[in-house]
Amino acid sequence: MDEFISVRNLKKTYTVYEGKFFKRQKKEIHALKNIDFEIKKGEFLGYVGPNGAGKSTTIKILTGIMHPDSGMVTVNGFCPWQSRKEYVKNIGVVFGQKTQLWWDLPVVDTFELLISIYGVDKKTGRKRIAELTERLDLKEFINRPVRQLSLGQRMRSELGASLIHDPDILFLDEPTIGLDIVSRHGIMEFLKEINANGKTILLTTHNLKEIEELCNEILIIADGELVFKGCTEKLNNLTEIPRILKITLKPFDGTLSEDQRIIISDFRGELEMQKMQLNFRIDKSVSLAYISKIMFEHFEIEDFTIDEPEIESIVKGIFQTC
Amino acid sequence: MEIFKTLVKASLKSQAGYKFNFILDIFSSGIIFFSDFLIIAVILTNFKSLGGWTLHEVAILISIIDSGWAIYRTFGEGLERMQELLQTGRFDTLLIRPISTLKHLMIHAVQFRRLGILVQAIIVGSWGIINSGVFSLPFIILYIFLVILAGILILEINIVLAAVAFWTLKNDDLLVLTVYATKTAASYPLNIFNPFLKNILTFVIPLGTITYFPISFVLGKTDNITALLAPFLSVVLMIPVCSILWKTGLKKYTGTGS
Repeated sequence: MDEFISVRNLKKTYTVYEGKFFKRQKKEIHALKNIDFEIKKGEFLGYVGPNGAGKSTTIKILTGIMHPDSGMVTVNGFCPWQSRKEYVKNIGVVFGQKTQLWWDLPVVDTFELLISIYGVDKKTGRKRIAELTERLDLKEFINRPVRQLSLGQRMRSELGASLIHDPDILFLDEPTIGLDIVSRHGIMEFLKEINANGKTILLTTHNLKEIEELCNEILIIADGELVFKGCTEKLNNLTEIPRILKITLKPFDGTLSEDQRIIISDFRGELEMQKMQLNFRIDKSVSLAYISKIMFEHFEIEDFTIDEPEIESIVKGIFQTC
Repeated sequence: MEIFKTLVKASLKSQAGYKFNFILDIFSSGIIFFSDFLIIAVILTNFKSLGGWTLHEVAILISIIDSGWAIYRTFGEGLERMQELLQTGRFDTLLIRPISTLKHLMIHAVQFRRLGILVQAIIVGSWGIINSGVFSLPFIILYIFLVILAGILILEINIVLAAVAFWTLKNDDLLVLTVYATKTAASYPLNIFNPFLKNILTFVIPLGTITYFPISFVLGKTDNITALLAPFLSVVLMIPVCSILWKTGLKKYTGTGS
């Protein structure tokens, strides 16, 4: 009973037609080539990969929406596509890009409808609505039609809707897409909490920071194949991709003091005179707090940005180390 | 059924929230259909009859089709949105629920303002029934049956069209051609059409079976009992057609994605 979700030799190929109507050419796209993984109960798994890598296909198969060409999936003893109606009673799904709420009705009515759909008894249902309203802070807009909500409010409501039947497993497909920092943070805190309370979560996102903060396990998919699976710390060691620190200096005459020159050469930085910009590549081993302190002490700084490595470059990094 | 009750209650609450708007909406959707009727009425008062049918008799045909249409448009919003659901990928969200996708489409939304069409149709129908001398309790019962069957048949035809969208991803043009056009045609006596069109309205898109045939029997224009049974036959025969097409389409969808 250790493996909660197990995926074996999962394959999926799409056939697309290209070209004009009469001279169509058949083309096969291997969305999933041979995917194997398992998720333990209570795990928070981050599923990342570039666009078109096969993330959504995997989620669609795991949620029973799509049938694979071959392979085996068991989730909590069920095969998602064979007993869909039974299976989905125990999963919650959020698609960041597709709403599951009743567009013209207030949020609370979607919750009521879902309670009827899942056959949750009325008393338990009421209690859950109250809990979710409280925890996701929905009170202010729960009686407003969904179409009038902001994206952040809607996404909180979507999360509420996915939990109304108290499923054991949550599939979240880019739930933070397009959200501002505050909304994103709120949702991440909420996810952390429900994971701590025993929900198994599979999350796909583009944002590596989210994965690092939330997930204990990570899967990276590229081009239909898994290129990495393991715990999040292991990934950090595997990919020594430096962060880029960009510092815009306040306008000055262009002469640097001795100290300043030493600092730049010590951290192997370069100065772009035209933009008055200093660029550094900071290895993971160097503390950002430490380097920021030195910079602010020695330079007149106008602007300060840190570029975290993108998922694409991490995937590239993995290919290079393998 | 519990789900449906919840939806009706919620939709009524949200739509009737702005009372004036709500009433205006109901009224205006009724008026649009009434103006269609008026055009036919004006033409018929000049020609006296259409294929041997008086204006009062034609009014009964129109009212059956319009009532059925009103019922479908009140509850069938999900089917009407099929193309949009498939193109945006939102159809996926129907598959994550423990109920059948068709059932889920039926609880997509309830549009109460379409009931204006029903009110209009019943007024036109009553006028026709009283003036063509068929007013009796058995006829009223038959009429109510026909209205309900018309609603179901129009729903079934739209399920077929929605299922087609699984392959084509697009069904709006087809919808206009097969539903809107035939709906209008079936509100006239079918004997005015050439045999080809009559056959289409009887066997392919069988909207004629719900209006022309049973009413012909009641009005004594035919004594073939099959005419009276035609509406029941077509509604029942459509069930396996809908079911098979929908299941095959859904299989195609889950097999290939959108």
